[in-house]
Amino acid sequence: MKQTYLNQTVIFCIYMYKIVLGADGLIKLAKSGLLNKLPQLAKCHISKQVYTEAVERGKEKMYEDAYTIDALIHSGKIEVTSIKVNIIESSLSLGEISSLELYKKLKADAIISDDRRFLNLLNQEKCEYIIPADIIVVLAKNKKVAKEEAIKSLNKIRALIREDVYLSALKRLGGE
Amino acid sequence: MKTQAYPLRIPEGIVDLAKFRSMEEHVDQSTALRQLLHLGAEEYIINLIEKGRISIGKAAELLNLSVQGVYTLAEKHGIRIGSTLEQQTKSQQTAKKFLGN
Repeated sequence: MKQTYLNQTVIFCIYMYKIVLGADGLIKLAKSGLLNKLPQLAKCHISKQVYTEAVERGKEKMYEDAYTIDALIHSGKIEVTSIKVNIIESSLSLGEISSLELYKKLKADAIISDDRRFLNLLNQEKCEYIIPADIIVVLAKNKKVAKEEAIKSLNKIRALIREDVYLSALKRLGGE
Repeated sequence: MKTQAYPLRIPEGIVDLAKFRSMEEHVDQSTALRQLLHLGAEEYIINLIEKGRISIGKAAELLNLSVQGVYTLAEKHGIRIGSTLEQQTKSQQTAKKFLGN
């Protein structure tokens, strides 16, 4: 009885987390095939600018991941929020800047991105972030996906991430 | 993509290369020159992403591509873009803290 109560508390707490996804994190997780599992761990938010970059422009070029993301948005698993951008930074896109603004506005727990330049800014701003490869590890450790499926998903994005980052995530998944 | 006129002196070798490309690709010489310029810009931008000087989103904006298009371009150039191991270490700390990893 006590154990059940504890489990429910843990599940409730995990679900209440808020995550903001940048276009890069969003697309890489969609390509891995595990983006649909993420809402089981946290509430997922993207800015309107990220929607334009990842979905609208992606659909123009017929990228499958853009349709996957759009379907998750229409099913209510990812929320799109309009946000005004106040910062101007010549080395970042509106999508990245709006993600940072949204993170601050929502007081979110983390931003998901794998973009080196953007992550440098997040470090400077003392913002929490998680890279897509680690999200795959977390999903496996939280038993949202089987280890084998997580490894397959990681392999799907292998060409899009650095080899040392890939190997580190693979090792934590128990792969070779 | 918007264009604008820009006065430029070009080395003769590059002009000859543009002539060659115009024949190879069946385009006019100006188009061939623009294509060569664009190819150089692509490689330069991919290297900037790799070094963490500009973001993927910004690169997409500058090259008039989608974010997915930038990944394809990076693969074409054989360059893996993404977070560093140091950034991954920080990411792992956050993942543990928030997601019970």
